[in-house]
Amino acid sequence: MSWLVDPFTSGFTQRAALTCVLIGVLAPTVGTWIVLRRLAYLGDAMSHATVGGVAVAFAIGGASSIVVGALGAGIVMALLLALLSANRRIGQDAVIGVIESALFAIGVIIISRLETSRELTHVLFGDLLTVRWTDVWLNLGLTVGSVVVVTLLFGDLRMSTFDPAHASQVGVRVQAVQVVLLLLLAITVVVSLRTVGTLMSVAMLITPAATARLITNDVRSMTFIGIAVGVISSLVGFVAAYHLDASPGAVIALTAAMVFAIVYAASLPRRMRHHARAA
Amino acid sequence: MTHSASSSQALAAEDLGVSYGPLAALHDVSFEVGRGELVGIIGPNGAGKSTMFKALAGFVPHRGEVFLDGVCCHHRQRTSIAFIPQRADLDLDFPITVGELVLGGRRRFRRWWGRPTSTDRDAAAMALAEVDLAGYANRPIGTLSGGQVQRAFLARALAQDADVLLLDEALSGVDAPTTEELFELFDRLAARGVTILVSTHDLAIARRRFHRCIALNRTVQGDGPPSVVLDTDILDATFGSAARAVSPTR
Repeated sequence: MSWLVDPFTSGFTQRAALTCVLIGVLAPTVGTWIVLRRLAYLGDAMSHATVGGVAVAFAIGGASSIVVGALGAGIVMALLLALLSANRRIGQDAVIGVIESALFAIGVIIISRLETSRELTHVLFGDLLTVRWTDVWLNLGLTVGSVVVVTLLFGDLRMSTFDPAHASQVGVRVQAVQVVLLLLLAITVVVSLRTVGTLMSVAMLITPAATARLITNDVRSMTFIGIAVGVISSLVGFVAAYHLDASPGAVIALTAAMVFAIVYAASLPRRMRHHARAA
Repeated sequence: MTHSASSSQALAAEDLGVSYGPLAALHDVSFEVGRGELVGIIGPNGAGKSTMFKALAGFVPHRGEVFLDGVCCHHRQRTSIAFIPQRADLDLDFPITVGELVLGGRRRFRRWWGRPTSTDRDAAAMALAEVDLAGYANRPIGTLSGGQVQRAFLARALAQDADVLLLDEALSGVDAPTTEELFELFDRLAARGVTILVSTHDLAIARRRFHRCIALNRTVQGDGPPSVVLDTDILDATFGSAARAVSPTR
């Protein structure tokens, strides 16, 4: 059993494992609503947009301000999206594309002009070996806070996702709920920085929640199953990456994708029977 | 601002107009509907029936005024109006049960952090019983038939304590027995004082089941009993001359 225990024996791998568990909890909690709103593209866009904020923060304040930069970019993206989506002539996907590419372009320009961008590479693809206790505590706070917000807003999230016009009529602030969801998305990317990296964060955001959707027809169950898939994928991917000496972020993303593929294949006969009955 | 109308007036529109850019989807629409009235809104596809409902419910910006119980509700939330969208506009694969859907109607009675109370649950259960869906609270909405979906949304409107129901193409895609069941329910609710407007392009049903029809094609083309509104001149103005060939005369 030493192959299972070895990855968790040293202090830095224990901190890394804890961070993996946190992203395994947070990403599916937020991702459930991203999947139900069919906004997977937004998750991808947010992960790219934060690169701009990370690069600006790194250029100004060094490695210690990266988290602030990522969060700032997420807030800018959320506010711009809320503002520009009011224009009915262009679809929300077009607005997302414009904001994402602009923020990502800022990041690419800054990174190309910096003398050292090694730390930034860690941010893009994750580096569990650099996780400090301050990162763990920060991520724990962000995760707990985000889960509390989702729990409090659960009813309004469901109503504004299913029938936004009716939700608005009975007092749900649909636009405010959308902005909060975008901020939670930005926080998820921030918590992903050290584990899977910004570019892979969309994998943890979408894949466990999409896997859960294949299994259940209930939003609460979908969240809990998504968390289970997220945590298991994170830990299995973490152990596998340790033994394969590969990038943990990529192995975790691949593990989640494999779980999705297995569940998809297993659910095929049930869905075929369902379609046959409906036909 | 109040509207000079009889005390039994539930809903009134005055010079209602909606434009999408340069296109006037609706203009100069005026009518009054009394409490407990069941009114058919007839018109072809693209006539502005859904747009009118959305304007009445306050979902789209509009010109003109909407009055509820004689009181102008400009810039006010119209919580006593319930708009029931057509099936095609809903994601019926969304993971929500009938009970959760109906409880959504009670959201107007609590703050965002509040949870449904026992009063809310009782009101939802009563609304479900009223539409004959008492045993369906735990069923996912996607497993219901077309008529049951309409009844579930009616239950949400009842739980919301709505006095005016706007049903967009509620009769599309439902078979004849289900249509009859829905009209029995409409009649029951109307007898209780609930005002119901149902949009349809089915002229046979309009002639047979409504006491009053409003013919709409961007503006009101006719308003009155079916025998008057389904007259050839009004039908021509509303649907074009092709409608005459398919309109049943009795």
